[in-house]
Amino acid sequence: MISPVTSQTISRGEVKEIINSDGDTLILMNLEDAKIILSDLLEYEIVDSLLAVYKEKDTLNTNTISLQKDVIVKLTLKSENQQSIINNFEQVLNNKDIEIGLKDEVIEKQNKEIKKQKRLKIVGFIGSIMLPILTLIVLI
Amino acid sequence: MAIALVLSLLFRSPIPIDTYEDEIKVLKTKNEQLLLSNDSINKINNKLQKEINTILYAIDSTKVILKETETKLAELEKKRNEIPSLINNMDSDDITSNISDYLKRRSKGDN
Repeated sequence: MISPVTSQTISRGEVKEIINSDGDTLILMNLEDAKIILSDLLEYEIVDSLLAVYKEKDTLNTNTISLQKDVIVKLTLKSENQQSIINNFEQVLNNKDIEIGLKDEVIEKQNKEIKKQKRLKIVGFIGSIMLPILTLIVLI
Repeated sequence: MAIALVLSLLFRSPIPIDTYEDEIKVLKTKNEQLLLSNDSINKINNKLQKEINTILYAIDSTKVILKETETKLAELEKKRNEIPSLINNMDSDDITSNISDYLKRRSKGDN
């Protein structure tokens, strides 16, 4: 028996048709040509699947980018809010400094007043002791 | 006169000192308002962080699906590259049966 590979009489690139005794139309071609056609068919089939998966990948990547954009927007907003918190704390600190300054001023004034009062009290006490003695001396 | 002077020195009332109570009160009120504002901003930030966490989780899930897609692509590319050697090793029976299988698949796809 002759193998199909060696039984090729039709040359490559040539396609013939015959109608057999049953009336069927048969297409004849070289086995290598049939291999090329099958190879193309299978490749196109896989390329179709690849295209679908690449589209899916593209959609997923688009979604990821969109989600990442959302994260960036929200992080920016959060950062701005944190800056507002910092500004508020700085304002609080500034107010506290003013408050401390005012209190320092009050303490300083009160210290001066206390010292002044002490001096006057001493003068008063000395006067209250010296006055009777001087009066006695004058009388004697 | 002298006694009156001494008594006035001893029982002299101190000069009133401005304690800036009103100013300090205003500053304290301002600080309370600022701290309240900070609390509100912190609440907003916590809400934002929760939303960010949800989105990050969604991104991670998408990355897992993307990885699966990459695997699928690699498999398909491998199959595609194997076609020439696979076809070369086929005999005429394999070729006809493969073409027949393809036509069957295609007709299923058409339906």
